[in-house]
Amino acid sequence: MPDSGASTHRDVFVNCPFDSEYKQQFNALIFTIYDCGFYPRCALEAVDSGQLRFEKICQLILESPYGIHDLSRIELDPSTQLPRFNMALELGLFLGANLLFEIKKPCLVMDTERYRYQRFCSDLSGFDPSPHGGDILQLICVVRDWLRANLEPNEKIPGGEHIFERYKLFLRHLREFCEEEHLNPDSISYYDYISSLQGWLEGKGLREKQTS
Amino acid sequence: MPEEKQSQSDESPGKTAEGTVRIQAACTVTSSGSVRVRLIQQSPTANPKLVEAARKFAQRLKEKEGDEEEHIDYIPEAPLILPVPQK
Repeated sequence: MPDSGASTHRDVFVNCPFDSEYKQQFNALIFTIYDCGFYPRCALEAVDSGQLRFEKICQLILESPYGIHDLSRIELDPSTQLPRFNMALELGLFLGANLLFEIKKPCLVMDTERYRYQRFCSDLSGFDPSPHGGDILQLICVVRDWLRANLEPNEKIPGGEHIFERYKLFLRHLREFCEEEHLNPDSISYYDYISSLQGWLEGKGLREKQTS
Repeated sequence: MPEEKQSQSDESPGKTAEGTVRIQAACTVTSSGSVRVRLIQQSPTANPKLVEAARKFAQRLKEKEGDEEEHIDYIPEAPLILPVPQK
């Protein structure tokens, strides 16, 4: 097993596209994970590490006790007429690691529609993907409800609608913060986004439950 | 609930059996004289300096604007940068 140098017991492996078309959902997904008291881990961390992307993904999967997989963008690319397989590959790695190491890491599988997977990956039968329809609020609610089920019973988190309101407030404040820090909000990096997000939640007093 | 008189925090690295984890220690002195120490886990990938800057930024806003969370319209075409409403 690789060295789990920076792993935490609340790391969530995030398997989703990182392109501009998914940016809205991605930012909301990362916000929700943080706001619910967890830590997102994804392949974007490999950008600065110099590590092979595939190796990094495997390491993150092994280190993370939870996984969130969004298959909603597995669709034909108009220019190549080929589907994107990265999300299916990473989901397969996650499920395979569970079998190989005989562990049961909870994972959430999402898609735009509940039974769409039957047309491109019928072997997933039984996983019952949660549909979000590409809608930000619905995505936040699906992720929030799933994370709630993995929290301690005595921990409290707000409902999806409230997290959505907080998310919109954060986006507005992020613009001002980026101006102060001389960052370009339109091209803010993943590192800077999560750093800003974590500090914002802590400064607002919404991130006190991460006790160890 | 005892009155909390003082709160201070400091960053320090920590060790667990699983490896190195960045934590923040927050100490609170209660009216009974006891000290409550809370260890706050930091994201393994966040930049501590930027986190601290964002924390101070949010605290400033909180002091200035309070905790009220107004309803903000979501604009799908410009999700990251929402317009600041006219005051």
